[in-house]
Amino acid sequence: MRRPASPHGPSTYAPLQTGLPFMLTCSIRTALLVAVCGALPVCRASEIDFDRDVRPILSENCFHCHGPDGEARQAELRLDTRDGLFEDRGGYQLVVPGEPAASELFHRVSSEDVDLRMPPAETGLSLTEAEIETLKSWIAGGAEWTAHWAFAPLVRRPPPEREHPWPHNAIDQFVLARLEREGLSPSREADREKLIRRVTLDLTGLPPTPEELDAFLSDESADAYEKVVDRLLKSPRYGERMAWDWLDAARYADTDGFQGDPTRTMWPWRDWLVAALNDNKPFDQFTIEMLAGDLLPGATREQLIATGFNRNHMYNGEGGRIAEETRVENVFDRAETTSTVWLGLTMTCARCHDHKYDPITQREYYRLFAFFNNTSESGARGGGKAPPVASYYTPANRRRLAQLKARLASWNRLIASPQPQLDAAQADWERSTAVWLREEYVQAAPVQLGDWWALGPLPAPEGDGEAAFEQDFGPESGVDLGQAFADGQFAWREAAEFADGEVHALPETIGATYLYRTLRAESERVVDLSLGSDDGIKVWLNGEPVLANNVSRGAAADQERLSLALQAGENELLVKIVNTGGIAGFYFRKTGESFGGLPGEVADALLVDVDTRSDEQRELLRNHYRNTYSANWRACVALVDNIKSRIDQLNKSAVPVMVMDTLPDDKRRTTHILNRGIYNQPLEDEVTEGTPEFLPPLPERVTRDRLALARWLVSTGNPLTARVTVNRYWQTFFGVGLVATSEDFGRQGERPSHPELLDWLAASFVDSGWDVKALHKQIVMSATYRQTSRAGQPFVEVQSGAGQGGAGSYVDDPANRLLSRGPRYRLPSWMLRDQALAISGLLVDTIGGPPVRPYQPAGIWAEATFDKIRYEQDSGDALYRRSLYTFWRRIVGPTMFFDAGKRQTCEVKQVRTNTPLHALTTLNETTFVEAARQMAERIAYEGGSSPSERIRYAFRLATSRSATEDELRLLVDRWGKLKDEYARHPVAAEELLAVGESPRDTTLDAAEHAAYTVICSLVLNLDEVLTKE
Amino acid sequence: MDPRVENKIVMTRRALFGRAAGGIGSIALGSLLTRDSQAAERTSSGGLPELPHFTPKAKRVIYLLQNGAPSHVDLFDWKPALRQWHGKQIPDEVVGGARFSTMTSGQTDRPVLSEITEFARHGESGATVSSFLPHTAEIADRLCFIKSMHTTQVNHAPAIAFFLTGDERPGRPSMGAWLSYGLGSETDELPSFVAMTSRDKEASCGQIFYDYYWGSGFLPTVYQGVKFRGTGDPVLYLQDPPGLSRAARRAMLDDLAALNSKHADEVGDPEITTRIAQYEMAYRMQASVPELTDFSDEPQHVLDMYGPDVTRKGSFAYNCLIARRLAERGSRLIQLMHAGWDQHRNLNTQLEIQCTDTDAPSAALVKDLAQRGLLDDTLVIWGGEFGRTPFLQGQIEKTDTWGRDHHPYVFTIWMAGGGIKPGVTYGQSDDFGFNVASDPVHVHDFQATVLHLLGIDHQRLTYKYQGRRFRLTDVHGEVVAGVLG
Repeated sequence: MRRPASPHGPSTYAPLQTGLPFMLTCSIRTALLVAVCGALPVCRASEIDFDRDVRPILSENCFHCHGPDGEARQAELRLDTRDGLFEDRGGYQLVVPGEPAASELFHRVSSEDVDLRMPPAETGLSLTEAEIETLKSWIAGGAEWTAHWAFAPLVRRPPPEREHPWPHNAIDQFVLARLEREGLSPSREADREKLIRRVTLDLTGLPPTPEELDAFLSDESADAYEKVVDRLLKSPRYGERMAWDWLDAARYADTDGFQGDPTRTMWPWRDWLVAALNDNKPFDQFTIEMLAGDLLPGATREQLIATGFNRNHMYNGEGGRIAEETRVENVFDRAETTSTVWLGLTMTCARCHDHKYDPITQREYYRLFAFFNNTSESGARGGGKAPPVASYYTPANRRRLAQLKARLASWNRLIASPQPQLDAAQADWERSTAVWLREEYVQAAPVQLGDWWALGPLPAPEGDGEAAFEQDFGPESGVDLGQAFADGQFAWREAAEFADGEVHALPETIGATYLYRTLRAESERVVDLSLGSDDGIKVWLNGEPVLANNVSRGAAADQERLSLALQAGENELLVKIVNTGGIAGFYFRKTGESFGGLPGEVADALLVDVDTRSDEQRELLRNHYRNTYSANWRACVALVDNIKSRIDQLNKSAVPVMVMDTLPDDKRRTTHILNRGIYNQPLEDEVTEGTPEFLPPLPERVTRDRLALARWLVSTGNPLTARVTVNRYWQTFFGVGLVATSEDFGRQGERPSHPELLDWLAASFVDSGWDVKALHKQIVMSATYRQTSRAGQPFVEVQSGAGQGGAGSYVDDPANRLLSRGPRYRLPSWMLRDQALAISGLLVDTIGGPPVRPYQPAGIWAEATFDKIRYEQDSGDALYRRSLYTFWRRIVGPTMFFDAGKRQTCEVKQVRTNTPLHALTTLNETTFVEAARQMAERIAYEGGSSPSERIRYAFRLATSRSATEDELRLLVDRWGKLKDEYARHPVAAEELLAVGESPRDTTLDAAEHAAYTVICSLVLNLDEVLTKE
Repeated sequence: MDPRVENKIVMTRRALFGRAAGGIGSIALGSLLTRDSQAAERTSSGGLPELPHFTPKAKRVIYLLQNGAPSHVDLFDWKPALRQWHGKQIPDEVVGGARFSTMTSGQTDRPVLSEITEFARHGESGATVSSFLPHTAEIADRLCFIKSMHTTQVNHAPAIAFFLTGDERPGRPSMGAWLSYGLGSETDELPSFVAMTSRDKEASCGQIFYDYYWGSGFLPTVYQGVKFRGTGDPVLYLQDPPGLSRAARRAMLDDLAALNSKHADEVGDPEITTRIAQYEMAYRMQASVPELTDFSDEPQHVLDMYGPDVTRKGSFAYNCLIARRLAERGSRLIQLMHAGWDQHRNLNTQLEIQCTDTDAPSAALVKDLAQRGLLDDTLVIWGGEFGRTPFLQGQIEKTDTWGRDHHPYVFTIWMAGGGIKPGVTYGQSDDFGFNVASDPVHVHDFQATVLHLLGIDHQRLTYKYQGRRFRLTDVHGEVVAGVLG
């Protein structure tokens, strides 16, 4: 039976037996325990449980100086381990089971002597009488020690089965047992309208359509609700809805963050995520792919992209930034994000010192860090695509690429295949040509290139580079290496340093540099040259001009290709490089020589005996022959080239996605503990990859890499991953996890409200093969989930303690931790936007692709970036895509989302506040106003002809329920007044109807349309619409 | 924070609101919490009941943060040695093993650069202020110069975060968020914590204003600063859509409140009542914010004090006047951030411009507050995130390349009003303005002092997050008694 609330606070659920001193003490203790555990009603006034009742007191008050942190530990005393509490300290013991008076712990915390009393006054901490009493009772009762609940193995305990009409599944058995202990009743099931709205929003992030609503309301079969659930779980909207929380956890954004905030293209990772959720990829596989997809044998492109999870962190590429510092920051982020998401452990403090509360040493932190320390990311500025990156192709491009590659392969096969006639002719040609070559060519040595001579640069008259190109400074009419120029200021000099095949800088003088060398040929032949110049270039062979190109450019290879016919003996080559400003330079390389129309290497191949030619030589000869003598073959080659260039283009269109990789063995970094977490202060000894000792060990004889870590996280022995994951998903549906501190399962985190339920859910999740959709179905099918969120609606079969503080009371259990009613809380802001778009009919449900830029007030980006980056709003469909596709600039996030994750570091718990700024957004933001305007059109088309019909329809679209007559009357009256006002002010009506870019149906009466728009805006702002009920 | 009394908030809120719409008038923006946020019992202004810890000297703070780091040796900290040593290597024993940003860490030459301004002593206190800051010099007797500030950060963003949040990394609550959390709000029409940004007209330096500079970190987001924008509406989505009259909005909100109240009765969730109140406050803000930014009631001589830029939206002068108007209307912390002080290579051209932009408005703000009797309980802070090197960055022979690099080892800030001793200089740097010579003031000491002036023991304003009690001053900080009036 329910008793009046305790005077120590409304959060006390313990029965209070007034007048009995012991129980009064218990009541106080309860109030404080509640406090310690985050307002969670836990005490049952039964025996004291060490983990539940005692450790939190020790953790809060003692661990800081007598806990896991070895550096900070005082008096060699630790209270966080069993050994520490019970060890013999030379004649005394902290805890002597059964004997508080002999226990130093009790003595010290209860001492009247301020010098002896713990914790010391200067810490600002002190134990309450009740806490001291708890410690005393625990010792007196035998001081039984138990491990921290979250670190202990999962307990597979069957649900407390008992005959009762309320439960639908095991979840409810656990919840009911707890409620009954508290003397509370569960609530009745929510109305069907509420139920379908709740479950549709929860599973898809969108409200049900009128058709879906009608279908459910008229379905009288016993499994009508289950059919809805199954339909929603199959909807592609499911993956989009579930993705959001993962985007927050993965600190996903479309820019790097920090100064400059360069854009990145990680959206293929986001699309991978949505697809993985829709495909119900088992959570263990999902985990392995995100953390170590690249290390899987035969990893697919998708599995590689999945590892973008750990490249979604911010990236500091500021000027003056030390690359290694950035790199180390990023590795910290990966280790900590992984730890938060899978282990529910707050590791950050162990960067600098042993954890103060949890059994994680600084060394163990760096052992986890080591797993992520051997990726090739260097920390250097990456401009949104810091290597390593993988190329992502859109599905269409990927198909096109595959087709082109297949065509290329078949053409290549074709052109390489034997052509009997052609091949026979080739054989004849080879024989006859070889004979001729043996006579004419064999004796001839290759062309000999003399050393360069250089002259100048000769300054252009009046600094006119153009004129220098035209002007002959002397050598152009004939080179005399002894000649001096410009009154003896300039002369030819040997320039042997100009080695071939590299770009050489020339002085920056505006003017001309001449370069001269001889080419000695034993017999007539053709040489092929590659040249480059900064800027203009002219070339003469034996006094004859062969090239003139007056350009402005930087020098590089292959800017000019020349084939020059050399005479036998000495040939003279003169090159003129003209600099028109800035730096100057040139490039020269002989790329080949040919003889009698035969390239040198062809000639060489022909001289090799037919049977001893290499494959390359055979191919060379075949290609040369066919290219020279077969027009058909040349056409095929042109086709192949065309295919190749299209493949090149597609490759260029590929999107770079930052992913994980592993450095080769010879480049592996060693990991060291970093002193105070400072990147360039490694301590001496090396740290290897490993996991915290208090958790089950990694399997022996496996390579200690990310793959091993990922597999370890989802191994059945790991007590944390499954608990942490089901808890986060519980939070998705109930707004708060069974463990409210979903980010911290450590000793300072909250204990679960329903420990047995949490373990049961976790165990069955693992046993199901980590089936996420099955877990979600289990939750939404439960009677617990299906309860009404109204207060005072007890499930009828139960004899309830009705009246004040009865079933579902918001007074006694504001956060609904006991689950005596259905969830009720404001929808996340992104879902509000999606809901408005859906209700209005504006929603464009395309899945995936590059991010979009919907409406945003002018100047937001410009102001944050000193005008360097401006927001360019999209138009058309892009304005109406689901919110998860909105471009997320890290330094200034989208303005229409409030209480959103910051996307800077990993966040796993949603914030819900309630401020006027939120009201301003849903009242005035363009999308919301436009949605109201379009909704007004929709109700005109679909709602009927009278105002009351239309408004009734609007109300139902938004709330999924029928308006009461009172509600309807109020809205219809208001509509009439608004319509009259707009009729008197037609300009105002036109203005309102011009909000947003979607076209307006001008056949509708403007005053009526504007009045409906205001009513629709009102309806979209009803608490009932903003809230999941 | 301490979740000890989480449930009580709901009761408290119910008591405040009642179940009728009448009781919602006095709730402050930034102090309303949902049941989902961690929240303790609140006072009528929404603060923690145990606060203030003692009688405060200041009720509010205006922080004129000079983003980019003004040169202390050119503006306040007059060091005749710099003239004597100009062009000569700064002695090794002064520099020691000091660390600099990567911009000069590779520079082997460290010639001393003389101040580029003229110094004089001003007022009865004889404070040394540069000729670039004539208006500041004029009010020197109202100011307290701390010439022994030092920090551990050498790059802008971490150093600014360190000043504002006590930690160099993003993620901790900014000082204004701590104050809103601890002290609640004195206004129910305007935000308690407002941030405004501006920069030099030439935009010579590109430091970005990150939103975590006014973020709430791990505190509930109701405590985050509201960024007043320099263009468009100061507050996002403040304007009703075109074509919607105020009367229509009022009528719509009345109907909305009626429907929501009815629903609240049926459901029993007090959160609905809170939402009704928030919509009402939004409506009031739609009037109070435009009224705030309407300078038509300011006498011309007041506008003149702030200088010609005062009418240019988004300028430092404009923001200074808005700051005074916010102070009058009850905002708790008004954080102005002005960029452009990062003179690595353009000291000779940019410093004077920067001073012109900020000198008159800063001084005008102090005088204006004083003439309205507001300076006594308004703490004004002026300073950057670190100082600048007494030695040169650039080439000594080319005056147009002169600059100074980041310098965390000593620098100067000034404070005024709100319990600060006027007309004093606290702490000293060495002969080169390189290191602290006496009475060092670390950033955490500065923060402890600011909280102290507001009646807060910095060690006792904590919030429990991820198992640890955090505070603005981390685990450090001592109140600087020497600057208290």
